Amino acid sequence: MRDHLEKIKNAVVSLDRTGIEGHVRAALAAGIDVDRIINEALTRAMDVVGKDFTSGKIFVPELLVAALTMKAALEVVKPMLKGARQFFGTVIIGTVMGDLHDIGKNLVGIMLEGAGFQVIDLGVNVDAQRFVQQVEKFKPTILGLSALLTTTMPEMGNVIKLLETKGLRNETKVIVGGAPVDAAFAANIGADGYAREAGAAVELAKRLVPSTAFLNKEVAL
Amino acid sequence: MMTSKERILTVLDGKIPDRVPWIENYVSNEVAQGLLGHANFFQATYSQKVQKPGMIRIPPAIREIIPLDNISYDMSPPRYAKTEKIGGLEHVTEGLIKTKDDLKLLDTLPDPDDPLFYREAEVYLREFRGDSAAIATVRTGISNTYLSMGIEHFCISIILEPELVKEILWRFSEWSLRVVKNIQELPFDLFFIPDDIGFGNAPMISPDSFRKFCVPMMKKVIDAMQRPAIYHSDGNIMPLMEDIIGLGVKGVANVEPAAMDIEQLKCDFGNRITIVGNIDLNYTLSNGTPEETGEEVRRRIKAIGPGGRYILASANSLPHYVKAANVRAMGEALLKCGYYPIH
Repeated sequence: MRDHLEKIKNAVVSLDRTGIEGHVRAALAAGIDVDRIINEALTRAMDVVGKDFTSGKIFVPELLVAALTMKAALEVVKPMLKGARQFFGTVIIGTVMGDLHDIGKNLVGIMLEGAGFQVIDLGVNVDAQRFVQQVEKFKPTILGLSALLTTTMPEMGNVIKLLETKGLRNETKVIVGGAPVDAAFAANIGADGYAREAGAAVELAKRLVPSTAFLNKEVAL
Repeated sequence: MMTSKERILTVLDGKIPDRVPWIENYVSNEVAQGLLGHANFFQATYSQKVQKPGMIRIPPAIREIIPLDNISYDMSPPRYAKTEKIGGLEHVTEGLIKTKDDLKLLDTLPDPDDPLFYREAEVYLREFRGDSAAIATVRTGISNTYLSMGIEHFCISIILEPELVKEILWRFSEWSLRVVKNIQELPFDLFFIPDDIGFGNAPMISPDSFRKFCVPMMKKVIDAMQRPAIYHSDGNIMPLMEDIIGLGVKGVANVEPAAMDIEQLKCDFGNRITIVGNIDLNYTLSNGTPEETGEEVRRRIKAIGPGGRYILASANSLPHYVKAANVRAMGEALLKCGYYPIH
């Protein structure tokens, strides 16, 4: 049984996008539960991939193809999930208004998904109103704000202020990131945390959830 | 006292000039207007069209106000991408070359041997060169490849469709090669190569991929350059430095402070390559005060300037959100502390 899970995990780490489906089907045929395939093979594989990315052992192409490989496996098991999938929590991410950069945000989203979070990506050029509406609607564990420009990073503070105005600030943890952002800026605008790169964002998100046990059922989008 | 051109060529040759030179590859018209106090000046060009490459990157009149040592003209290849202008900046939002079928778009690349493309550069040099160092900005093909494919698609394709990536790189690099051969018939003094490959904490692609995909194309274009060249990338390119030096470039710019430690770079490579940069854009030049800017320039010159092989510059360029007063302070600090010998 462990052998099947190891093969799936290794397929993600070695970017074997064509082989992984066969490994997953073999695991299912051997009676391995879908939850175990997700939690003990895929999530653990992405944990290895994330750490390798953070340490500079692998780079953006390998991270992206590992995520595609994981998604190919998820497509096989999804129809067999008995109920909603369990996650550590829900994270809403987006690039703030006036800013169209998305690669950094996307990498954070991929790594959070791989680490067991449900990610709702609002895209780029998202205004404060929309962030707050989505927080109200989905009640995420974490709201992640991205900005790549000196001129757009103050918008992160505006999102936090609007959350306060709407009485939603205590409903979610706010984390921020992007090239011009630093810890001092994050503290200054009242964010709950700052991450310099995608791997650090995952570690931060894990620290900010109340427990490492699975908390949330999948949010219906 | 050296001319601007002599100063820059001296430092790129590994010798000590009269003072630390200052170059920028782009100065926005807003900053220029702030420096000049009026809008009646020969302006920089913001964006290029596929059928008309070529951009003026430095409004030359600012050299009367600040001790900037260069003017700059950009002859990068066109990029095939959707763009959107927001907040005064043009962003690439989506690459248009995703598959082999899309390669036909590259058939619309304008003829780089068409003399018409070089007329504007010729006039710019004739009218405004003076004693400045005239920079020709060209790309070797890397950034046009990933911008035309989309960064994520480029990265995925490096692993899943390497031949497609190589084909696009080859097409752009062939175009640039011809531009290099043509443009150096004009009196440019050096090349500037902005082919960014760095991310915040590491290069975007592995050193192995860089060697496999990028180095051969870059080398082909750089080998044709009969003037000194400076390579530019944002982000962290420390793991690629040996390869970059191996390409034969004389300088590396702009050493983004949030991603690279310029003192470490000087320590590791400062005797082999000239370092260009890295006055902070995220805070100092855009939101800091003239005093803070002057202090950062003084610190940088003191740390990196001794022994030569240092050119002062911003961490990227001087876009519209940079305060003109801080640019002025940068120049004042340079004139006060930048003359050799530096202690």
